[in-house]
Parts: sequence; C-alpha cells; structure tokens
Amino acid sequence: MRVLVVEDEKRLAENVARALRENAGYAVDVAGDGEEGLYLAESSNYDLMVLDLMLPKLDGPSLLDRYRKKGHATPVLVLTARDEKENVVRLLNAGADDYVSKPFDLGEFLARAKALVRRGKGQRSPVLSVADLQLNTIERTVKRGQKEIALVPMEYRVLEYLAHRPRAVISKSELLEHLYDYNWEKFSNVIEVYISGLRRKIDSNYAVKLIHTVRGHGYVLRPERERT
Amino acid sequence: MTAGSWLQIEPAASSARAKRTIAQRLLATLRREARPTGRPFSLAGRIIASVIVCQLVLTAALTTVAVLYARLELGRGFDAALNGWAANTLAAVRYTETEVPDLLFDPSLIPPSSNSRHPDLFEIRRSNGELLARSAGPLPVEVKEGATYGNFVLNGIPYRAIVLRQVPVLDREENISVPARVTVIYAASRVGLHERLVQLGVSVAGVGLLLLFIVSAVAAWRVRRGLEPLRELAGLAGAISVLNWEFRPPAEASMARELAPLTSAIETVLDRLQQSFRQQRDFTSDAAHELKTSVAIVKSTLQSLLQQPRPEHEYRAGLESMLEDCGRLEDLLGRMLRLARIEQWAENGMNHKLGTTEVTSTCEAAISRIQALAEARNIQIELIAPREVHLQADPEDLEVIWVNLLENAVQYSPPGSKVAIHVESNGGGTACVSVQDSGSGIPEEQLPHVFQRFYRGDPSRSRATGGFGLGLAICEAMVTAYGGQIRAANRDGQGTEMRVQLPIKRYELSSV
Repeated sequence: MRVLVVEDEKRLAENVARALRENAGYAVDVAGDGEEGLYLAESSNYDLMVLDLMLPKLDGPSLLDRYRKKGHATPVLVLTARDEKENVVRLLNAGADDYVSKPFDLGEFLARAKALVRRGKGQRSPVLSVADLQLNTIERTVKRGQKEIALVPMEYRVLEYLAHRPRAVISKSELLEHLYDYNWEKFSNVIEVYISGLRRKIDSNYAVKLIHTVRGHGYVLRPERERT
Repeated sequence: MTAGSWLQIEPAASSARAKRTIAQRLLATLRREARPTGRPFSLAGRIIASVIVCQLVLTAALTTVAVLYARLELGRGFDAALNGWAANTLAAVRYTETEVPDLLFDPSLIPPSSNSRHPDLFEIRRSNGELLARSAGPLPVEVKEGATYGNFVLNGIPYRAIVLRQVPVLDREENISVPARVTVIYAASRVGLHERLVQLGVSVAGVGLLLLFIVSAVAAWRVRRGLEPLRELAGLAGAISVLNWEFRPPAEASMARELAPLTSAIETVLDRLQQSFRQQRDFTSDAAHELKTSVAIVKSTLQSLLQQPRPEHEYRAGLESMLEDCGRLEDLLGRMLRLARIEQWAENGMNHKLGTTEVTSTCEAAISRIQALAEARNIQIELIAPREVHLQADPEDLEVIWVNLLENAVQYSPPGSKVAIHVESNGGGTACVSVQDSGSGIPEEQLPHVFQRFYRGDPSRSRATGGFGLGLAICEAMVTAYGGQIRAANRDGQGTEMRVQLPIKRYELSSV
C-alpha cells in the first residue's frame, strides 16, 4: 500500500510517515505543502491520502475539493485541529472519508488509516482470506490452514496488496507503484523475486495453488480450482 | 386658597408624623432628593404624580376663583336684598290719622326675617334722631356717617347692615305735603351667605377631585400602555446572550422618538460587543489550533518512539526533537501571554512609571537580538538614525516592537538583501520608526489583515521559519497601548514598509 501524507509541520509528517511505514508496512510519500500534495496525488495512485487542513500555498479543503472534482476515489483521512461540528461536517461533505483531531493518538490514527485502506479496496474485515489463506492486516501475520507462515516485510506487502483484491489481475507496474514510495528506484524484476518467494512459502506444499501468473498481464490471487 | 393649603388638606395626624400624607408622598416622588441612595423609582409613577399635582393645582385654582367670584356676586345680591328688606321695614312706618299726622310703626307689617336662626335686626329713627322703632335688641354699631353698608359681629354672628338715611315716609294720605323723613338701619345675618359659599367651594372642589381621580386612573393606564415598548425593548435586550446576538427592536420602539436613541445605542453596543466577542473567540480558536498542532507533534513523536523497541540513538534523536518542539511551544505561549498582557495594559492604562528612553539604542539592542537569524539568512540590517530621539516609554517595550518588526522583515526578505530601520522625529511630538525590507511585498488584499492575530499571508514561509502570525499583532497591540499608530505599506515593488508612530510624551490617561 502506498500513502501520501500532506502535512506542513515537518516533524508531524515524519512521525506519521514513520508510524505508517513501521506499523502498517505502507510506502509513504510526504508533501510539505498543498500544491506539492495535489501534484503528487494526481501523478501517482495512492491507496490513502492523509491531509492536513492548514497548508501553505493550497489549503487542505481546496486541495480536497480539486482532487475530488477530478474524480479520484482514493480515501482521504484528514488531520485537523478544528474539530467543531460544523467544520467536521463541511470536511466530510467536501469528500473526506474520515478525520482525526489533533493532538491525535497514533494508534487510533493507524487504525483509521488501515480501515480506510480496507474500505477503499472493498474489504470489510481486517482479516483477509482467500481459500484457506488468512492474512491478518492488524498483526501482519499470514496463515495457511492452521500453519503460520513467516514472510519478509516486502513479501508480506506484495501478498497484502494482492489479497485486498483477490481474483483481480494485478500488473507488475501496479505492484511497483503501490509498494514503493517515490524515493525508490523501481525495478520490475524485484517483484518477480518476491512472487517466487511467496510461491515457495505459500503454495509449494499445498495441492491448491493460490498465486498465479497471467502471462503478459500480471499476477492474481485465487484458488486454483476456479481456473477453467 | 393655594395649592399648598390644599395639599395639606389632610394634615398628618398628631399620632403619626412619620405617616406622610398622600400629597407629601407625591411631592417626595417628584423631588429627587427623596431617594437618597439609589432607591428604585418608577418613571410611570413620576409621570402620574406630575399629572396628579397639576390636576390638584388646577382644582385649587378653579375652586378659589369660583368662590371669590361667587362671593362678589352673592355679596351684591345680598346687598340688594338688604335694601329691599330695609324698604319693606320702612313700609311699616305709617302716619297716624290724627289732626297732625304723626309717625306710627306697625310691627304687623314687618316682613319675615331672612334667616330664622339669626333674626334680622332693624332700627328706625326720626329725622331728629329719636328712636321710632327697633327689633328685639339694640344694634351695637354706630353706623358711620355717609356709609350705606357696614359689617359687625353680634354674639359671634356676622351681620351686614344697610343704612337708608332721611328717607321720606310715604303713605296713602294725600294731605301731607312734606313727608316726614326717617333713617332706617337694617341688618341681616351673613351666616347663610357663608354657608352657600362653602357649599359652592365644596362642590367645585369635589367635582375637581372626582375628575382628578378619573384623570389619574386614565393617565396611569395610558402611561402603562405608553411604556409598553420600553418593556418590550428590555425583554428583547434581556434575551441577548453569547448564543443569540439577535436584536430586532419592535417597530413601535424604533418609531418612538424618545426610544430611538436608546434603541440605536443598544444596537451599537451590541455590534461592538459581538465584534469583540467574535474576535476573542477567533483568537481562542486560533490559539487552540496552534497549541493542538504543537502538542500533536510532541505526542506523535512520543508514541512513535514507544511503538517498538528502538536503538538508543533513535531515542536520543526523538528526545532532542521533542525538546526543540517544546521550545517552540514555549515561544508560542510566551507570545500569547505577552499579547494578553499588553492588552490588559491598554485597557487599564499603563500603570508603571515611564522614564525617558532613547529610541536608537533600543533599535540597536533589537538588531543585536535578531542578528543571528539575519546572518543565517545572509541579510544585512542597516540602522539609519540621524539624531537622537527621546521618548517616554519603557525601553523593553520598544525593543519588543522593533524585534518583531525586524524578525518579520528578515523572514520576508530574500537572502543576500538588506533590511533598513529608520529612526526620526517629526518635531511635532511624534517619533517615527520605519522598517523596510526588500521582499516581494504584501499583496494589497492582505495589507489590512497583517496585524490580525495568527494571520499568515503566506503560511509556508512563516511556518517554515517558526512564525505563528503573532509578531505583528504584538507590535500593533504595543503601539496602540502607547497611543501610537502602525501601518503597513508596499514600496512600489521594492518590498514592504512598516511604519510606527509614537507620541513623544504619553498623556497620563490612567490618572484621569
């Protein structure tokens, strides 16, 4: 998952980004003002935007307004110091999906962020399951049947992204875009390395294979028997 | 009869001197000294009291005039009647049928007395003064020579007498060539006259008092009705609170000439109150926003450190950054407190004694305090002070103004540029200090707002440099507290000029 944090208080942005990276395993980009935020939001596909309201150059509500008017559906979590009712109502009506008021609890913030990401992918439960594969997005653990499977962080992130949209074919470039922030040099063969690692840990000992390659298109997570 | 005597028609009974009469109470209401220490009183009561007093005076005057006039008219009538009775009595004098006719008084011919309780008195004397006839008793008066009428009192009863002098006695006898002449004195009691006058006075006064009662009742009702808009106004004004600023005076209240000033005064005061309340609320909300953001930073750093075990250097870095953030928070609090304190001064008048301060030296002190920031941004600060300017002010206060102005200028100037501070005195009792920067200037539409608290024309720059949008607000508050003025203006594309004008001598407003 890839998150955009638009926050001008550098320290707050750092803390939020760090929490998202460490606790949720998301790739995080940080924008220090509204214009940069809007530019980044429009140039990449994010799974979540964290938006402060008081921003230089372009303030949060205007950014949100312009972003939504262009039809972007990425969930937006607003950070606000003004939690008066009218303000909250205006924000939600302007297209925000949720808000936390400053000073917020980092745990609550993370829970709301994860919930928004889930909902953005059409998932309700924090535990994603495909056949007998279970992926707990809160504890970041993976089980197949009753057996816990240990994954390296990047493998987990690839699997989590696939598991949020089971049965959908996801291209390598999409995976690259959503798993790395813009500071990373992106090499598509990295994805192949992680996919083969995942196959070894998840599929090799089981009759029903879950990870499949659709040649020329990408990867899909689904039980083998559905294949015709 | 005067109003005063009427008013004391019911004198305070000897038993209760303290118990004042109605009239006295009314007068007391009219007189202001009757309420010594802010005793509540009623406007309607005062108006009604005035009406009653006027009515009383009117009644008294009417009664007096009526009685006086009646006395005059009745007196004339009485005199005419007296004349008639005297003539009738004269008719009782006849001539005898003797050879030489003599005068004879025939009492059977006397008309009945005008007053049964106090019988009339008369006396008839021959022309030589010899008594011919008289009523029961002698008349006590010597009727004065030449006077026709006279008054006397007999046994406490007032009488009025008429004297008909040397009137000829006429009779049926035709053979009397020269009729005999007699003098007739006739007196009748005036008690009846008095009684009628008193009756008249009492009835006129009675009608007057009845009218007074009716008029007072009507006046009380009308006044109460007339003051209705005032009560309504009070009700509306009473309903105003911080949640409801709405004040729509009823049409009746705004049309009433007497209430219009009150209505408009209430409206003005409300406007001002609402404005200052809104400012205060905005300030609180802005302050809360700033504080929340600062607290959010510290809190998120702490939570982020606690989320998982970390190497020591990360903890150290976290603590250091928190210390830095606390410093920022402290700075914000300090500025807010300073602002609040300056405003308190301005409200209560500065209570500390002000000596004379040399302005240029405070500018130098301010420059030295801002030097580090200026050097970091590679900006040169130039002080232009052709001569010394002395001002009645606290040097620290002045320094606060210059530091904030310079800080602002340095932040908005491009690196490598120059900031100039001019000190001059216009000789007219005003010191003028201006700070000029070489930045891009302030957009015209933002100029009126730059002194607002927490206002950031371009938040990116002031935020980035640690500003809160309070510096210029502090300057303005301080300058205002000193009775001066501050203005921001653009210098035709060469940056911004902040111009402060301060009175050289501060008038001791607080001692007034």
